[in-house]
Amino acid sequence: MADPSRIENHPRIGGAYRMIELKRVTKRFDKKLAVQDLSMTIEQGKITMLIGPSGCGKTTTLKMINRLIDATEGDITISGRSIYDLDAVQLRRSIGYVIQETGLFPHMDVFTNIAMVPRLIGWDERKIKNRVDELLHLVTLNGSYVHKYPLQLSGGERQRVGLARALAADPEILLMDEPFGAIDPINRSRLHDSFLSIQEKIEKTIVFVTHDINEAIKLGDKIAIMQNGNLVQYDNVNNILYEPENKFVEKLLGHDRNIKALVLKKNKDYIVTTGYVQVHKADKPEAVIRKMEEKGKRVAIVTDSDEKFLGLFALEKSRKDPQPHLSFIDNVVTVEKNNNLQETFSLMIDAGESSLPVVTEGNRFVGAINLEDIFNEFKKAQED
Amino acid sequence: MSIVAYVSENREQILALVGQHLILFSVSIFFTVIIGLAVAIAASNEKRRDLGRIILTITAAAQAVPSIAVVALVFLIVGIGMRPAIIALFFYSLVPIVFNATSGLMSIDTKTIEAARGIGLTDRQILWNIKFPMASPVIMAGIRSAATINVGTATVAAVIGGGGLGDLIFIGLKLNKNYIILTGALLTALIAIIVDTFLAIMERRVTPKGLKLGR
Amino acid sequence: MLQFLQHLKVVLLSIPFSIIISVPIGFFISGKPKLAKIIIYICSILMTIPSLALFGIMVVVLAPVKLGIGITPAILAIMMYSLLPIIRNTYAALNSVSPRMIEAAKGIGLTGQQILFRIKLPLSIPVIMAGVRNAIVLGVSVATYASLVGAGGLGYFIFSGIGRANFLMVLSGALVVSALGIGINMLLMKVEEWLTPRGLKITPVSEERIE
Repeated sequence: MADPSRIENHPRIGGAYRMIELKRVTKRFDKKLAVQDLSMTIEQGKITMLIGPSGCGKTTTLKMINRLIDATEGDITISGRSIYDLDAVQLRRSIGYVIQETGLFPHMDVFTNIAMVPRLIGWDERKIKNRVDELLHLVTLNGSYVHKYPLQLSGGERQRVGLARALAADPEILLMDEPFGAIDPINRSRLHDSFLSIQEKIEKTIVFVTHDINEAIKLGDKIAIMQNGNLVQYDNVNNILYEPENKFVEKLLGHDRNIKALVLKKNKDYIVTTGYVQVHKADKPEAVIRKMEEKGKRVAIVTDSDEKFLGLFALEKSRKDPQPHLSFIDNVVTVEKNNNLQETFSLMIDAGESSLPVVTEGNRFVGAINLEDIFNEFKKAQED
Repeated sequence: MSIVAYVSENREQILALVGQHLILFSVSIFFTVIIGLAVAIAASNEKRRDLGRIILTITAAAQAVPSIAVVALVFLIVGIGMRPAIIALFFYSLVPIVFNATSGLMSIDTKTIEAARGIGLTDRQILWNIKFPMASPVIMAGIRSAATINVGTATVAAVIGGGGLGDLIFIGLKLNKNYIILTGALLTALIAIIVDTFLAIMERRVTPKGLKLGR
Repeated sequence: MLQFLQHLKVVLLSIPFSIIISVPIGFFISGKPKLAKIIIYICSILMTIPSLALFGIMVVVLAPVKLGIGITPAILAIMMYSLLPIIRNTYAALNSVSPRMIEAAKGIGLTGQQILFRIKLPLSIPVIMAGVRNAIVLGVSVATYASLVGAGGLGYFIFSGIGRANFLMVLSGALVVSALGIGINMLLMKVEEWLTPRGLKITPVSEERIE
């Protein structure tokens, strides 16, 4: 029997895709107006980022969704039903909530932390144990973590456990308040990638507060920009990047927003398979040289019989010898098919090359990527 | 006369005094812990931070009051005997418990409590499952401190007719007989050390495992 | 009034001796954790012993040298009681100076002695002062028993008053000694603040932001 206290077990009204609706929500603390007349619809299955400078009201807005803070005016509905018609504690048990590191309870081990909500709503122990194993696997931590304590874990590990805990009772909605804020940049990037692949599997409705515009662009499907308690612009990522509403949004995005936007594009959509010379390691040098001179290329891509990328042949001419020679370069910068354009762009600038070879699993060569195509991407986006 | 001789001759009376001493101690501590913790819980409520701060200031100042002063004041109001002694002990050992417990409960990171509320724990569940375990080292330290002071003050309570081993010390001082003084002094010291050591072990056992670790 | 001063005298005589003994001990053990553990344990046992009992023991111990009555047992008892707070705080304070700071000091060329006096000591003063304050307040409390061994002090009003059923006496004794305890505590807290190097008193700016 479906638990009637769970939000998603209520009859859906008006289309399931309008998961959370904020209707003219205002929050006043004494004299300060933290959130003003905010209306927005949060779509099901998407990651919605709330971003803005300190004091803009983004965290207040987040906390109003699970009633940690109650609105002064206005209403918030989930699947059409007002959250004020429900018991606050039951509401919170059906929504996942993740905050920064201090969210884990240090005096309980990982298992007990994750099992908290399922135990509260009365799951039987075997179901809970299976669920914990499943979740640890999902957040890529192995089973041995169940007995560890938060103080023994690294920041990245703690965040993963926090995420597992939030997902434990399988809520439809996940609220996240700067969860990766206290993590160093390298690990944060890895956590972002993990997070995105987890979301691909679980497809939850996520509301995510951040102050980092790069994080918002990388993770968000839609971005809501707030300032002084007001919603300034709310749209999907592309539109925000290419059509900022006003100077404030432009400033928030940064003058390098075109480059920031590149993080959304993958190499695989820009691979070309022409315009270069590809040869086998064992090919005769004269043949290689001839091919290169025909096509007017200084370098040739060298692969083996399994299409594995080995390096480059470079054409060298010296004054002493009119005959050109081939030299083999094996220390070559390559990019992965599934990585993003922003990284590729940086690598090109670093290497001083306007073209880089693209490889996939097992270092197999699949084509080349050209700087020119990246530039065209800028132009095309501006025109849209 | 040697102490050993004195003790063996007056075994029953001395045992009776030990018994009285222990009664004074245990009855007062029992009430102190219950009421002290109740006060601390009320005072540490996040919604009433100012109450908490007032209580902390009062108890902090009260810790400077000498024990006999409290005994004397209770004597003035209630009289002599075991009951006033227990009342005096109750009030005096209340202070460290309330101070430590309130301070410990209030010092828990508000973000942790917010996370607990955010995932759907009720206030009572937060108190028992989060606040108490996390504050338990400090609370236990307060109980231990209170207990030790209690045994000590129970010694002085003899002066208002509360009985207990303090009687031996007072009599010994008056009669100028060292072996009586020592019997009283050593026995009280022994009880105090036993209580303190026992509670020190409890302190370590009560601390949740997760809090003792670090990277 | 006489007794009031007598009380103070007892306390003020014992504390300086206590400091002179305890602080150097604290310094001495600051580098030796095992030794420190033993010493601190012994001191805490001393403090666990009820003050009245300690007095009694002092009286007995000093009797053979005819010092069992009077100020001497009182002073010794107070000293033993105050060993723990001062030693423990001194030890903790000296040890809590961050090793990185010491490293920085060494790096800019300070000698061990300079580091001790210019860095460790000033940084430890607040905590040591807190220990001394604790000790003094305890001293006031313990000194109340001094009258039992003929050393006078405010305890006289309380004990004699109870004996003679003179309520006024008891009341005035109890109130004055309490006031003394609380008063000295507050006074010393101000002194502590005054002695704390200015830089340590700045509290980092923390904003309660409504996000």
